[in-house]
Amino acid sequence: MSVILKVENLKKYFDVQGGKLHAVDGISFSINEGETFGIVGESGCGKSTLGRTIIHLYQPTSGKIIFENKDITFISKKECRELLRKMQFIFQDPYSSLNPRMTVIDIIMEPLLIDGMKRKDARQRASELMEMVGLSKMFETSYPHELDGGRRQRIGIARALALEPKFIICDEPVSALDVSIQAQILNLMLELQEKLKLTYIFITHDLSVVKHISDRVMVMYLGQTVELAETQELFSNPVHPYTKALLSAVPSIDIDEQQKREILHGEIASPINPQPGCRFAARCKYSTSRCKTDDPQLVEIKPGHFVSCYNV
Amino acid sequence: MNASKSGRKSQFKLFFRRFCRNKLAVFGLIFIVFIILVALFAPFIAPYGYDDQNVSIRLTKPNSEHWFGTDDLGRDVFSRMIYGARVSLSVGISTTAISMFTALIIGMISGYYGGRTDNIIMRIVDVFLAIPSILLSIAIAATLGGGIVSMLIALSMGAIPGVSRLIRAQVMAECHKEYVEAAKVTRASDFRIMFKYIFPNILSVFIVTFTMGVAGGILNASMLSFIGLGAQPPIPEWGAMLSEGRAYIRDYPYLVTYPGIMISITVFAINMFGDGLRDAFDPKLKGR
Repeated sequence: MSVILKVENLKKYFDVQGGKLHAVDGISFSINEGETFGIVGESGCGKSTLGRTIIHLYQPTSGKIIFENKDITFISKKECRELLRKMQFIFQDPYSSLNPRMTVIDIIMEPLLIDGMKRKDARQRASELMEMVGLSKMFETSYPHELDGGRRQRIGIARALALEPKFIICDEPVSALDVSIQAQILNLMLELQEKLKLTYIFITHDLSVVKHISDRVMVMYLGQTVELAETQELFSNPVHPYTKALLSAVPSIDIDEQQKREILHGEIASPINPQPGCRFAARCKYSTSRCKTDDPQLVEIKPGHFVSCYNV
Repeated sequence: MNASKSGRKSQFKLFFRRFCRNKLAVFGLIFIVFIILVALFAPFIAPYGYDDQNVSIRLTKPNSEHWFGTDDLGRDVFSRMIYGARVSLSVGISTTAISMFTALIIGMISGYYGGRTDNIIMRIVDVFLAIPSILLSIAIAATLGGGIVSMLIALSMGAIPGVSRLIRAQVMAECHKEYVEAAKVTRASDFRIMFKYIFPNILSVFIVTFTMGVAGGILNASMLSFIGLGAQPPIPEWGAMLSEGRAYIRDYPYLVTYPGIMISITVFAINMFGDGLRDAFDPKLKGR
């Protein structure tokens, strides 16, 4: 397996009133070809920003993004257009990510037409794509608002697949959908991954989803990596106090199983001009004085299992 | 295929039904169509030419031969009003078309690119906004001299700053929606995003502003003509007719009454139509 994407110490700061908002603050990881890399974390932890920075919807502040052995951190508009041929994005909200004034087939044809394909060929290809994502032909000339969330998300997937990318960043693709439809979409995505040899970054806050779909999982907290491991390892053997609390919040369907919830107290620290020290220290019951002054680094405690905490 | 056709049709039907619920708006629409027809077929409807003079019957009161009487040169007021619809309507529509088109480009660039571009453009617009648009129009018309063409330029220039701001705000609101980001990811050019994605989504606001703009255009054109900077005699513009009749207002009030009523009703009708359009486009606004 070869590494397809490598991110090194990536930072994305936003200028806001009162300073710099550290949305992504020194994230490093690498993704192998063909795997699904899950990113979890609570709202506002910077997971979406990370995805958007990788695909250059936002300009990175510093760090390095290496895609297929090429440094793509700071690239021109033209190079970015080339990049988007190989790297695509599936949006969170299928209700707002589709232009309400375009028909389904037009939406899917857009990337093809922009690529210079003839209208007739593009139409043909778009029909194929619709079939591939399980959309009936009768919806070709419907408008997005006439369809339900699941079908809309299928449109989003077909659009992302139009140019045959290898690498797709999925930004919470199922969190706006009903649970019953979530499973359909997830299975479709797994199917497509197998068929088209895709690599996914899968951003979500839903732990059961990430457990189902990911090979490896990275847990984020306030713009930083907290823990990174293979899915099995992370779920059976979480080390970081935050990961433990997060996993204990997953509801279980087994009523006999005693739930030992770890309730976190305190507020999330502000990502604007953050203080030095572990970002989680204020809410962590194990925190020591060192946690409040020094930044913990990501250490490998087992092969492939990385944690950033002083108390392990 | 069929599904969407009926979908589109039913959407239009719904829109039309919402529109029809507003009686004043329907009246506005009917009146506008009526006025446009009158303007188009003016030579066939008008009993006399707009500059047929007959000094022997100057200043006759309305009678069966001259329904609205004659003016100081013996011209038939009724015929002049019919021809006047041509001038007033075309001036109203073309000034709005010019100003809206320019404002669309300014507002689109400003709202889409934001940042420094936006700042520079908007500060220039602010300078123009600081001058009341009527004064601006008068100043431009006075500089360029009278006549229809200079009136067109003056009125369009007067309307551009305000409309630019409106469109900029609309574009900015659309830019924050996810489908614009999605378009960027599909590698669409800025131009394509602006006109294939954003424009159709602000079209309803655009149409309503356009309609209201026509009413304002007619009113302002009459105003400019009234103070002598617009249509020059013998062109039968309604405002110009008001201005000519002003000298005789004590003894022959009908000279100003009829054109005055015409201006009021037309502007009222267009405004009501525009109101109705806006409510029909956005049913959420109504009744809240």
